[in-house]
Amino acid sequence: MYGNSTKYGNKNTSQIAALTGMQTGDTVFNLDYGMVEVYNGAVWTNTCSVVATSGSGLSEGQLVYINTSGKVVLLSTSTTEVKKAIGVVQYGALATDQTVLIRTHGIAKCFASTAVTIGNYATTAGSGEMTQTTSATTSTFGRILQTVGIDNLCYVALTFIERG
Amino acid sequence: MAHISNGQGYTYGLKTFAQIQALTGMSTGETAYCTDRNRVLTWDGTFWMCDDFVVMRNRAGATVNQWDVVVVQTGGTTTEIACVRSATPGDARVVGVAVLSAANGALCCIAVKGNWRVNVRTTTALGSDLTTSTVLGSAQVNAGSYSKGVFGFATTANAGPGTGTVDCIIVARKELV
Repeated sequence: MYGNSTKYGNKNTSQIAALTGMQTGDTVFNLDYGMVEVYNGAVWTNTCSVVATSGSGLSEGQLVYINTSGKVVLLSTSTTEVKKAIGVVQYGALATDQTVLIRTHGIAKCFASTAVTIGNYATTAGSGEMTQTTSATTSTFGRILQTVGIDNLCYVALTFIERG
Repeated sequence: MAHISNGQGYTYGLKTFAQIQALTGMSTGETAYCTDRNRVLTWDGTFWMCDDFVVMRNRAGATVNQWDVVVVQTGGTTTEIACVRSATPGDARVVGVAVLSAANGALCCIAVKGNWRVNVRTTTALGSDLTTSTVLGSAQVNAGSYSKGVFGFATTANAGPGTGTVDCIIVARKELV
């Protein structure tokens, strides 16, 4: 039904990112996440994400935090940055000061810098990348939902943990 | 089947949050796309709702203002989920931000995630961690080391030193046990 009722039909995230000529309010069904997305005039949006401003170039799957300019940038393993982590880039940008979409809950495709195994804890590896641990740490941001090799996008259930 | 495109397919098309709240004569299930909060809102007969919202009873003993931060009421009844305002900085019971004002005893519509706004009590810098403050309903920059109770991050600033309202990203978090 959604594929017929949305303007751009059924597409995956990469195909949606490559669309041109959209108008505000246009819709598409994202096959990667199983949800309708709406173009807001600057970026495709959905109900599992927030809109933010890039503080650097950002790509799909990268973990980000909010810096002191109120912009999202790549997450390192710094405790200070981990405390300000908000999510994973869905629609990125080539440069700073562009509108980007960050998935904050639900599932997200994260870039794994190591091989990871389903069921393990998703943990920040620095440079916006993900690795895995077998127990939760203060750098844990979710649970790994599939087994993939090194340098692949991997579905993660986001469960950012509050660091007390 | 017509495509949902450029506002067509939504009952009320493309509108800001304030414009949507000013609409009258809606029927349950009607929709509008909220251009400044990036959400499709659906009229449920009482509120314009979206996936970001929960509804709780205001038991603050006073009106909850639009964009006040609210926390779960403790010591309430066993049959009602209710919210109040907190004067405890860093209160870990934060639910979210009231998107509309609600009189004492009325239902209160609360954003628990997403791109919303919050009242702040004083100067707030970009990117600040936001928590409850000593002022009922107003947030403040998290003081000192990070603590439980941070519910979001400021994406606009309040020059202060007086009160104001800032845009924020509300991020639901799970407490570390």
